[in-house]
Amino acid sequence: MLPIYAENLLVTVTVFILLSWAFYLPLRGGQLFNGPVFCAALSGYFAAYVTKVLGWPVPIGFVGGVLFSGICSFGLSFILAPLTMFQMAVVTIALIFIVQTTFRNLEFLGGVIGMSGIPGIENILIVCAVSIVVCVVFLNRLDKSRWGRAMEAVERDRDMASAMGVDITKMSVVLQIVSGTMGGLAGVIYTFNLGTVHPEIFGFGQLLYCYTIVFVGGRDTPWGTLIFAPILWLIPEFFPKAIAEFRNVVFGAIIIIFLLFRPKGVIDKTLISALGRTFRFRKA
Amino acid sequence: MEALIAYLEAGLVSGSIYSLIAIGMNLLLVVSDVILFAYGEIVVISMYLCWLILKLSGNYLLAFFGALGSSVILTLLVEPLLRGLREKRLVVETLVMTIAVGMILTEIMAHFLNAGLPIAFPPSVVGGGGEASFGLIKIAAADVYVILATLALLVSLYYFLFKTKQGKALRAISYNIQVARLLGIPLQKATSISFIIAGLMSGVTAALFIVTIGVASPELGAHVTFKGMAVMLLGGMGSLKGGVVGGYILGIIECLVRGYFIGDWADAIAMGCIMIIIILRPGGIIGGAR
Amino acid sequence: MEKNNSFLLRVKDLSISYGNIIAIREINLKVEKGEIVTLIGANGAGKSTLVKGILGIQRPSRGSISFLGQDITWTTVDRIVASGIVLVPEGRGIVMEMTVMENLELGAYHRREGVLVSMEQVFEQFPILRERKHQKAGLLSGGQQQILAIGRALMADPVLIMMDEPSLGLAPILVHQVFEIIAGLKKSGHTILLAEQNARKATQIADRGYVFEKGRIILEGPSQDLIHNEMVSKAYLGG
Repeated sequence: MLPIYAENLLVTVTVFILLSWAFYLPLRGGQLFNGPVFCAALSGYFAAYVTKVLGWPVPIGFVGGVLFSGICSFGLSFILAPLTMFQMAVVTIALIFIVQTTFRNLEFLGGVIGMSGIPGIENILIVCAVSIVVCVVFLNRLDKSRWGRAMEAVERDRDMASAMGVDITKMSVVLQIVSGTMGGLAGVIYTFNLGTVHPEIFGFGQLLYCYTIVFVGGRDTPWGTLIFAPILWLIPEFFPKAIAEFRNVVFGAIIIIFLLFRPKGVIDKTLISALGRTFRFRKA
Repeated sequence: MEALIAYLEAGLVSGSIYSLIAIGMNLLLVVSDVILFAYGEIVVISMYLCWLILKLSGNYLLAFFGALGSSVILTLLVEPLLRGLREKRLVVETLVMTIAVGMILTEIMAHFLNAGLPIAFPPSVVGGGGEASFGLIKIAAADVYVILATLALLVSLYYFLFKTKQGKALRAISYNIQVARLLGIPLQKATSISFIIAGLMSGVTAALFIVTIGVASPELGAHVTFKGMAVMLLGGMGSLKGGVVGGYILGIIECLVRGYFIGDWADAIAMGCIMIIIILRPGGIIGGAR
Repeated sequence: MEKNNSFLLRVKDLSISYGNIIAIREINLKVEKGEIVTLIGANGAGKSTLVKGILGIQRPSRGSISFLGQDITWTTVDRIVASGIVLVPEGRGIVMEMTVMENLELGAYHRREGVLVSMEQVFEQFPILRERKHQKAGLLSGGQQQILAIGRALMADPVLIMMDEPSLGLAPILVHQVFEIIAGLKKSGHTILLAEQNARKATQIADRGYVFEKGRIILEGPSQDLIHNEMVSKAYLGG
């Protein structure tokens, strides 16, 4: 099979694609929801605990982790739904922090050190591929459906959308649950591949990556993330070590530059439809 | 009982600092429609620069003004980045832009200043040089400086906003920007003034952090920003009075929790309390302009 | 005859669009010193747009505006107000949370001296404002707020006062009061451009008028002519 190094890389890219999609979704509905990060932590810890400590089989741990994060987002959504965008952003950042602190202080979950020796998934690449395909199909269908249009309306003008009959609260809840679940999916994949879990595993560094990917790659369509996440991750791998230190500064700078000149990201709807048209011409 | 008073005293001190942060951030919000997620990072990087200047020159005054100057300059540098987005009313993008700036500043501190290690200020500076003890209650000279500085800033700000023409113009903008525009009040100038004031306040905040905490690390920046935002939400977004009240509430809760609970829980619990308050009263304790 | 330099304000072939919608087109208008010129017409006919265009809030797509001989077509709002054009906006445009006195002070933002003198004069003319000078403006009644808005405009020591629907939402007796005030302003030498839906009252106090319909000026002339014009009379003056 592939060398471990390459396999790890592909898995990590998958994880970031999934995490970024988890951000992308609520953003399409006008929300800055940082749930994916702490949901990944929650699912990762859950899966780690049940497989390592309780000895459950890996597939059950996997599914369990995803479900766990989904349930947590569901529970939280009742609290979070009525918040304004800014409040939601701040509270979800707070939750990232609170979750990290909680795990850090719970001894049965390994405390500061966390847990290691977690069993892995065979054929993890297949799991990754399936996840990506499922998610991209889902996101694409969502975009084109009635829901997708409703989300766009809410993103543009929340009050007007509400006046036109969109149930904002329900949409917010659904987006949070799906987003949290996708975050959970990323979390279990990452944890099983890494074999360890610790409190800082999912935190603000991941947040920065995901923001960069989504805001630079494209806010309008899921393809932006799909194409850009590998680029963002792989390019620095080819840089010499010295420049690697600059990585986050560069990411931040890239976000700023793009926000100044192309706020919707590189790949947006118009680009996609333009590409679509050129290809259609070619066929004819 | 003594312990309680000690905690309350500490809470007042940190509360004062939190109030200053919240006021700086709230001012930017109501006058310029900007939530500066990089505010805390600017404060901390000013602390770093002050430390550098102190190390290189040994001159306290120079270091102090260096800190003040750097925070003003940094704040003013951020303003043009945001101008385009504000005009187009792109709210999410503005937030993310300021987050990105904050992250860049943190990275600079983590890699290029003191090789990413935390900095510590000499004991002659920390604590302000002297303290008084009443049993368990220790009041450092620095604590007094903090309270005095906070009072001075609050009074000056009040005077500016309520007794000067430019200050009243800023208030008018915060209440009703359309009307202010019709009256021919130059909005860009007001925005610049608000950024300058915020820059000055963050510089003073940096100085106060230096004399009370005496150490800084790259992660502190995001931490401070976050606390500032929590206070903003607590007191009501955009409410200056709310910022003051909220700041003290956070300061006191934090110190009480740190005093009475063991473990790392202090921050998490304080955050939790704030979250609960926000959820119960989304408009913040005082409620405010927004 | 009309001389160029007696014009305070001259609008030439002005068009203003909101995106793809043309709000006003080919507007030609002038205001001379010391007169009251009124713009009458239905809601949405373009009067407000023109006023906002002169103030600099709406950017013209075509044409020019000149004031005191200077071209102000592209000048920013703050400079236009500083040069002496003030607006009493539709809906009064009072800052509710600030006191009466603070509102008046805002009107004098661009002045360096003589502010206190002006405030005295405003209080003399409108004693109700003096009574309530420390009250929050939001506590005033509609009519009092209108008076405050006018007083605020006077605080700027203006060259040209523009008013957008000053009588809107006021009870008839207050409407009468407001128009008396406007007529009085002319007597004290002010120049006024008045956009009003209440065509009857407006033509009574104005020297000249322009009739707006669907973004164009369809008629202009001395107000006497407008009053006696049959079409105008039927459409706007209630026959």
